[in-house]
Formats: sequence, C-alpha cells, structure tokens
Amino acid sequence: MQHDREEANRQATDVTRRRFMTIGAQGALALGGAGLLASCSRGSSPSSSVGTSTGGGKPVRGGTFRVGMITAGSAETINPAHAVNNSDLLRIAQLYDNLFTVGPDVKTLVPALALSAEPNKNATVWTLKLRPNVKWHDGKAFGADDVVYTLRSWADPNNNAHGQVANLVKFNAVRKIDQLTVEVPLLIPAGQFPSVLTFNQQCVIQSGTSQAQVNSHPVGTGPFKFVSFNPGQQSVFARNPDYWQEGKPYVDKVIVNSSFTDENSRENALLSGAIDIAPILPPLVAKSLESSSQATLLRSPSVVQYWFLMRVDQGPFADNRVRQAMKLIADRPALVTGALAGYGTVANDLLGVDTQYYASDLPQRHQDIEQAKFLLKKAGQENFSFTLPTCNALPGFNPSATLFAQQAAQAGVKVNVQIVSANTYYTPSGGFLKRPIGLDYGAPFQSLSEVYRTFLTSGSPFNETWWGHQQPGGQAAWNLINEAISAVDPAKAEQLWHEVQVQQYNEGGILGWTNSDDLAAVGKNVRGISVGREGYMNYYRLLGGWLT
Amino acid sequence: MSLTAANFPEKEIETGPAATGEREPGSPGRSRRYPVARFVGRRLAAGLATLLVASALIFVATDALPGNVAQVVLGRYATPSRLETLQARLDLNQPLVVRYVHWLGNAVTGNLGEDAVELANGEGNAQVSHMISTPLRNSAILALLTAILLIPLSLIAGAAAAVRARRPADYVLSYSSLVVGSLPEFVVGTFLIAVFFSWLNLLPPVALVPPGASPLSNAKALVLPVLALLAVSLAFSARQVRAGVVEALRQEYVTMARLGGIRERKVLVRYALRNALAPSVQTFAQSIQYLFGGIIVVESLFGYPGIGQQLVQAVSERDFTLIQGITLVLAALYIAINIAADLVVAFLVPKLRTSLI
Repeated sequence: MQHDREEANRQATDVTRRRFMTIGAQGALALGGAGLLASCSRGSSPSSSVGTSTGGGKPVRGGTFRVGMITAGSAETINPAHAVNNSDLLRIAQLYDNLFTVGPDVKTLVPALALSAEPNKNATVWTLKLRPNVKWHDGKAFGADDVVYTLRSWADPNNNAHGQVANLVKFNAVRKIDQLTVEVPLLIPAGQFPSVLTFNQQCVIQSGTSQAQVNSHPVGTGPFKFVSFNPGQQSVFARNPDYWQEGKPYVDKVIVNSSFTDENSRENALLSGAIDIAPILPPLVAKSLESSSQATLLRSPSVVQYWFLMRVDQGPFADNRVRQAMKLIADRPALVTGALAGYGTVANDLLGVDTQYYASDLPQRHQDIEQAKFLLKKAGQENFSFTLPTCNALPGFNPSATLFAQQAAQAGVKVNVQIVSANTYYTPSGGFLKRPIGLDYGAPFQSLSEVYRTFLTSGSPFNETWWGHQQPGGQAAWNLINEAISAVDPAKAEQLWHEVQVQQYNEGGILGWTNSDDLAAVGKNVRGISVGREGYMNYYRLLGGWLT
Repeated sequence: MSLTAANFPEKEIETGPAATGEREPGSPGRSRRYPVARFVGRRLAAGLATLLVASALIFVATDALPGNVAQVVLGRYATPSRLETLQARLDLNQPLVVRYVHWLGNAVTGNLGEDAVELANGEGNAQVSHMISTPLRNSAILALLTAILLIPLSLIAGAAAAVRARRPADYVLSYSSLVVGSLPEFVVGTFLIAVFFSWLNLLPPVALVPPGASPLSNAKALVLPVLALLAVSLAFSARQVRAGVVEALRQEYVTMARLGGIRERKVLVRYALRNALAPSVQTFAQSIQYLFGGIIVVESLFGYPGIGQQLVQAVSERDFTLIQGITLVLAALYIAINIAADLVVAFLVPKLRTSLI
C-alpha cells in the first residue's frame, strides 16, 4: 500500500520534468488511503452525478480561493518563459492574459488581449487587432508595444514559449502598426496561426520587462495581481479591480498551496476545508470523491491523449504491417478501464482530437487478434518480440504497457515491459528519440496545424515516430502536411487535413488508446469553476469562480 | 537471622554500581587530567571522520545518478547552450575530486552551494543552506515534540511491562506494541485520520504551514502527525526498555536491594531502570535519528513541510545540490545524536564512564 502511494507521488511529480507539452499529472492508479478515507467520510451519499462545473447562481464578491497543487519543489517558477509545471501554469494564468484562448469546443478561438487576427492572401502575414482599454497591474495602458516585445522575447531558445513559434514567426520583423495593431510576418504560410497564441506560456508580458522583474515582481494584465511567491510552498495573488472582464474576478484573493507531495494529503486537505480547489486529480482519488458529501468532483472528457509511438523509419516497426498489427492488438476499452479506472474515452490512432478538421469520420479501430497475426505472418514476424520501455510520467503509463503486453501475447507477440525512470525517459541518454517504441502523451492542441508541427513535421522537436523519414514516401508525407498547414481556404484545408489523417491512420506510427478525462474537485461552497476538454480546468481559470 | 531493612542500611546499598559516580582510588582515570574532555574529544574526532566519509559517499552517489545531471535537470529543453551554461555554473566540467574538494571546502563554511534546478531555470542564486533551514526547523519541531512524549512514555510502558513480565499485562503491552510497531507509518497515519477526522471530526487531517509561519501557531494540526510518529516509535522504544529492565531485575544487586527491604518502586526506578537506561538511551537516540530523517512518509501524509518532504522532492527533481546539502546535514545530525547519546550513557552509567576513561 505504501509502495502504491509512493508510486502515486512519483507519478504526480515526475511529470513535472516534461516541458513544452504543458500538461500535468492526473495522479496515479494508486489506492493509497483514498478508498479507506472515502469509505469513512461522514455522511457520504451513495452516489451523485459528476458534472463539468459547479453550477451557477448569482456570483458573490469576496473571499479567498485556496488551491492545492502537487509540488514541483524548487523547480517552480512564476516566469512564463520557464513555466512548465502544473502549478506554474496555474500561477501565470492568474497573472497574465493570452492574445487568444481556446473555446470550450476546442475548435473556436476566443478573443482575449487580441480581438481579431487576419491573414494576408497566402497566410504569411497576420495582423492582430488588440483590445482597447486594458490596463497593466501597475496602471500602464496595454498596447501594441507590449505584444511586439512579447513576440520578440519568444525568439530566445531558452524561453519555453519558443518551441511553439520556432521556424514559424519572423521575430525581428514583428512590428507595431498603430497603438492597437500588430503585424506578424511568418517564415511559412500558416492558415491556423492564431492557435499558436493560445498555449499557456504564450501570455503577454509588459514591454521592457526584464527577466529579473518577471521572476521577482511580475506585472500582468490578468485577473489577479502578484503578492508573493515561495517556490514549492505558496503563492498569493490579489484581485485586479481593473480587470478588463467587467465584474471579474469575484474572489479577493487566491492562495496557491503548492507544497503537497502526496495526493492523499491533498485530498484530506480538500475534505477538511483546508483548501477549496484541487485541480488535476489522479483517477482513483477522483473515484473516492465521487460520492463525497464534502467535495464536488468535476469531470470532463478528452484532456490528454495517450499514445504508444513506433518508429516508422527503422527497426522492427519500419514495416507498416507490423505497426498495423500493433494497432489491432490493442484492446482500447480494456486499457482505459485497467490503466485509468475508466476515466477516459477510447481514442483512435490520430492526433488532435476535437480540433477543427479532425477526421472523426475514420472508423474507430478495434482489437482484431486474427488480423494482427495475419499481418505479422505476412511481415515475416510470426515470433515477434520486442522491448517496450515505459515510465511513470503519467498515471496509467506503466499499467497500460503491462496490459498491452498481455494483449500482445494473445497474438503470439512477446513484449518485455521495461520500466525506467521518468526523469531520464525523455532525455537522449534515456532513449528519447532513439527507441523503436515508447509511450508519450499530448495536451489538447487548438489546431491540427499545431499538433502536427509539434510531432510530425521536419522541424518537430518531438517527432518520436520519425514520420517523414520513412523511405520511400517520407518527403511526400511532409509535403502533404505542410500544404495542409498553409491552407487558408477552409474547404481546401479540410480536404488536405483529411488526406493527412487518412495517411496517418493507415501508415503512421501512432497507436492512440485514450483521451483521458480532466478531473478536479472543489469544496461544496465553491461555484463557477469548471473543467473542460480545452485544457486542465479551462486553462486554470479561477476568475469566474466564487464562494457561497 | 533474617536480612531486613532494619539491619541493612540503605546508605550502604546505595553505593552499588548504579548509584555512585565516584572512582575508586588508584583507578586509571585518576592519573589523567580532564578525562571527560578527552573522551568527548575522541568521540568528536571519530564523528568528524565519519562525517568526512559520509560526505564523500554522498557526493559520489549523487554524481552517479543516471544520466547527465545537467541534462536531467533541464529535461527536454536541454539545448546545447543551456547545457553548457549550466555545466559551467555547476562546475560539472571539473573532475569529480576537484568538485568534491571545492564543495567540501564551501560546506565547512556553511555554504552548501546554489540550487541546481533554480540555476537550470535561469532564476539563480537560491542558496541550499537557506532553502533547507525552514524545513529542518519544522522537522525538528515535530521530532522534538514526539521525543518529549516518547521518552517518558517508553520508560513507563517498558518498566510496567517488565515488572509484569510473562503476565497477561505484559503480553498485552508486548504484543500490541509489536502489532503497532510492525505497521508502516502510512497505515497508522491513515487510521488516525480515519478515526480523528473522518469519523470523529476532532482533528485536522493535514498540517499545512504557510511560509513564514511557525508550525506551533496551529498546534492542533500537529497532534495527528505526532501521534502517528509516536505510535510507531513508541512500540520499538518501549520493547527495548522492557528488555533492559527485565535484564536488570535479574541482577544480584537488585536482589540484594530487595533483600535489603527497599521498597519495590524504589528498586525499580533507582536500581533496575537506571541500569537499563544505557541501552535505552541508544534506542531513544535511534528513534530521534529516525524522527529527523525518516519521517518522510508522515510528512507527506499530513502535508507537513519538513526536511523529509524536501528531500523526496529534490530526488524526484534530480536537484543534486539540494540532495547533497540535505543528506550532509542529516548525516551530521545523525552523528551528533550518536555522540550525544554516548555521552549521556557515559554519565548515566558510572561503570561505563570509568571504563571508557
């Protein structure tokens, strides 16, 4: 039991190593004390419906939100350029605003500091119209200078916002047209460029701000102002009375307690009223809270995509028949139940679920052991065996590898599951970008353009399947993706993205088995907080919440 | 003629081995000056030598962590320029021995270096010694509160079981302590939370301490962590005290004291218990060592910001300068507690004191 709990802690903290993907731990498949405590909860009702929000009513002003987060220790930051852990992302979401945010359906962009983004004819230059009458926390007026300064700051490879815009934005050519208009020239045509501006770290900082200021006395336009920050302990924010969203936020103060190393203690803190909000819950902690009378569990589908990734360019998976066999071996519903306690939906072998142009018409792939055997036989791999390295970077990773190995045995395939440290799994010395097969995950992306640029194009930092390196056809596959990224006309874009996805579905190295749920819990007196498929707790938005 | 208290003066009996601290004429210590200081000096020198070996082991072990340390700390963002900068800042380009000597030299002056992860983030100059001071204080408070309860309770429970050895009360005490002692802290802590929070709603299940606040400002929150630690360590300590007292009660001087008509309570406290203290003090020292460094599980369970939690987090983040700093401080504490325990034993048991000198 103790081992399980430690495993839960590791899973909850190991994910903090992962940068760029901007997602966090949902916790672990560890029972720990959660089940015991839940069963002892006073006055717990047998069951209650689990929704995506705490419901409405008339907002009440005042009070303090106390948010509990799993710690990332001294790695925690308040600087968007270095933000990566869940608590970092929650903090910067209170202090800063993005130019656009992601709508609840994922497909739509919601204007934030930018009101609109218009491309030129071939989508190589975008013009951003900015929101007027926005004030920084120090009282200065927000304008084009700030956006130009921010976009140029992303040119620094040490800035965690860099990865999303590298090889895309002509940083030095970004210019101010007038006080509320900015022109952004691109290196390549990009029909869905504004979606890149929605990532957590892509928030706008004030013109002329030094990194030292951002680290110590951050000034943003966000719903809450900076008060204090102690890494791995606590951060405090005060209501911004001049926030551009009329009347919001409702609470006076937000205290983020990021000292929790243990999911059970965070759950106990919630149940005892020591904290009000616990975002990103592990599946079994969520399970134990389903019937709690002291907390409300919030659940929304599709926040993180889980994948087995196979190299298409070399090794045993370079033969597409072997890749297809693996996709047919996977019993996805069993993986969701066994590895995530059912807190997920079955996924197809595609990237970018819920985005515009996502090929939802492609049939859901099901387990077909006989067909898998047939394909392996044709590929000359009747006694196929391989090593599957895995780690506990995310809840369900290791159980999914073990379950997959059991399913593979039905097709006569021997899979040696090798559990390695999550700290080294995504480093070159740990085999990252080298291993023939491995596990990874993806945050919600607002567009196919972004998710493909991240994982499958020539400049992708995380092209773990080595897509485009396969011979023959690799270059043609890249060309097709680039054509789709460039498309401005919606009909043309839809057609091209469909072609890309059909090819990926049939030949790609991605075995997607689930889109996991977004799980959070709040105290019974919390209202206006919701979870959603666009990102953890709607991108950590607290401004619409209040206390009764 | 029977031996009774009337004809066996107490004063004479009290000059037995447990009750006197005087050296006999002509004993070896008499010829030496400051024998106690020499003993302390020897123990301190041995402690420092042990600490030196421990520091070397700590340094080599953290260096042997898998993967390039700078790369692990930077993660996927390990661009060549960031790697180079961090390696230079952390002296990683130097040979191991050079780095060790440099680190040790600084450590002697109280400088445990800069935090590796903060350096990797480019947010620099967080001093390890500063970072660990508050968690260390918090753990010390938890450990001392537990120890204050642990020592008298162990003595009472152990002595009570010993005088009732092989009787039902002894079996109840022994077996119940065996059961509690064999349970992991996590189970005991969870059970306490289930009873005192979930069921009775009397005590908070977490002991959160905001930055800048003292854990003692919310003493109610410390009750369950202290109880959990106490339950686990008391079982072990009480059993050790019991064994010592049982052994002492079999000694001739105890028999003589009883035959001399001294009251049983006095025999127990002044003869048996005092002589049983030597092994008990070592047991208490072990418990206090455990309370300082081994309370990771309890700290995690109750969300208490102590040194154990910080060490776990540092290991998880491969924050090797922080790991080195914490483990060195804990090693020093272990050694200091051992020396203190030896001294206490030497002063408690004159026989030992004279033989050591």
